[in-house]
Amino acid sequence: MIPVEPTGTPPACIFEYAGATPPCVQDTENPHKQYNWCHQELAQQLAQRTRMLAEATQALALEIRRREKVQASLMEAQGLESIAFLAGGLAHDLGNALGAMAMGYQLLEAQPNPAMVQKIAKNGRRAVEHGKELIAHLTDFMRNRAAAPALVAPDVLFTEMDAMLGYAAGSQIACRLQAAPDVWPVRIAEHRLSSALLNLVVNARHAMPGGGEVAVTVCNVALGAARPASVGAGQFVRFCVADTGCGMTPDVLARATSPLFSTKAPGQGTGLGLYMVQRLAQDAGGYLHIDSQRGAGTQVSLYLPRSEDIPPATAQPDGPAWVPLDHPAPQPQRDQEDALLERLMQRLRSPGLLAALLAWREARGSVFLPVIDAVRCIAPAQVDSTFIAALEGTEAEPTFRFESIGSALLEKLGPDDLPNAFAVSDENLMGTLAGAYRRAARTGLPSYEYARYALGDGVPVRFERLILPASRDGRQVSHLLGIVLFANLPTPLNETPPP
Amino acid sequence: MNESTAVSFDEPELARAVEQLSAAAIDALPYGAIRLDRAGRIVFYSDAAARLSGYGARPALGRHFFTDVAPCLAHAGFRGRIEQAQAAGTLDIEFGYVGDFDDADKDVCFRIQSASDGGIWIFTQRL
Repeated sequence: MIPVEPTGTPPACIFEYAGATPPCVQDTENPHKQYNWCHQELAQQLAQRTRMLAEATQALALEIRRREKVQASLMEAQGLESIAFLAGGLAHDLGNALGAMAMGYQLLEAQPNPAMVQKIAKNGRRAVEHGKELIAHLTDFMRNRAAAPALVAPDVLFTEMDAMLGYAAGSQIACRLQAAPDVWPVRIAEHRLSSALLNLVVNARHAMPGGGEVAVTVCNVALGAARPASVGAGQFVRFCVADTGCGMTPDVLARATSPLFSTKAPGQGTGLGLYMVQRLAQDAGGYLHIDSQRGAGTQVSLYLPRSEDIPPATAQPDGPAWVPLDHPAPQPQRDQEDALLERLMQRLRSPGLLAALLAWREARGSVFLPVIDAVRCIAPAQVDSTFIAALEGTEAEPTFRFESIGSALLEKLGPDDLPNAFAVSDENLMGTLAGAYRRAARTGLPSYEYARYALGDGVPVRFERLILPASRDGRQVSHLLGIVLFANLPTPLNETPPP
Repeated sequence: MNESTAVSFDEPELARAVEQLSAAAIDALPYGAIRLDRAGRIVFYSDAAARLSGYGARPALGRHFFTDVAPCLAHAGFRGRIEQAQAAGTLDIEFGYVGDFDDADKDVCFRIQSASDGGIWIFTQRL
């Protein structure tokens, strides 16, 4: 006799994770059938996640092989042991994550209790997430981030980062930000600079376990003789993070910017922080300088060349255009957006859509919208089910024009379902295709719909549509990228199969 | 109403289960229930449906439900099949959206199943 949940309260649906809606729950006469069907679908979903992890691992391996230049500079500066250490560490941690998953599968095969199945699946999923984080961290390290450098005004950046740097410093540390008046602009990928500043503040925090002060300042400097030979003379912007902490001894200072060198306990930080900040400075044509004395605190200075670029004049389109949505979004709105994205991630049923949404969020970074060219091929495995539509017209009377439509979509939906262009009016309720487009265009946030239909004349089918807005400039929605999926669902065992 | 004996929105045979309840019991469910007869006229509209329709007032009804509200089902290939399923009493559709204009923090989910008398039931839940 297989143990079942006491009747009255249906068991929590194990498909919160797997994402499908099973026809089980109350079939207490045939618990065996219920379990078999759930098991099959769950195993399928877990297999898909494993494939994702395997693909990501392959991508990392490719990236490592391709970046010989990075490896050459690493070898030149630090010797082979850095790479071996990196690879060894990665192999060990990934091995743990995959081992946890493998154990999960084994346990699932033998598990008769649906509640235990849920617990095992949750743990397996956490292991996968951890594995993915490791990979993301390392691919980040191994390649230049895709974001193109742009003109950044340090005083504006400081205003935006005020709260975040405060949180990074923590409640025990007094954190003060100050930008000199008329500080020059720099040309850099903004998120790299933000990450660098965050990193430095976190380092300062670790140097002051009993509390202290950290001052983050930016000012203009003219570098003359007292600069490294590799950097040209001229005008620079100096970002400085100074703390009142324990400082570094001379030999720690000498190794501070080596990759993987860390004074922290194993498991706390990777030792890549200062190395990455130095890389950032060098990539931008500047350099990093550290002043530190044991007992007297540390000052880390990041020198970036002044950008000679003049900010481009904003081109006004002819006629009333779409009103740009707020940028940067105020924090409470951002929190609400993040909450929506979290909910969305839990509701998505196909793993391919989850990967696309994560990639969209990644490409978005700290701006409002990702740039269309960065997300054109956001879901390579679903390219046949992807369409891209350009937004035209005005906010009051928007129209959409399809730039591309995947072959699988064209096959499934006739030309009437995807006309070459169509207008949208307020009459369209949210559920329609036009309504979904309008919602995504207006909010700048992804839109997701799903349907499951069993019409009694064939196999049940699941439909999903995820629409991801994109822009030309990070501010206004200019394109919609959509992935539309149809999937046959397994027929529940207690229905007669179709003739 | 006792929470543990209420018919769950996820009940596979939701329409059959709800048909066993009295009108008062249906009104007390934590999700909306609407029944249309064979001709598409509303013959029952629960209190919860009015509150939870997700559209504020009732503009959803009076429109062509499948083409205007359900995602994808306006597609030409479905119309004939839906009518047939309705006639055969084998309709079972579920769909939903994450976030909506009225309330960005809520998700809306619909279930549509054939009613025993040849009409259809439409159940709405907001989470």
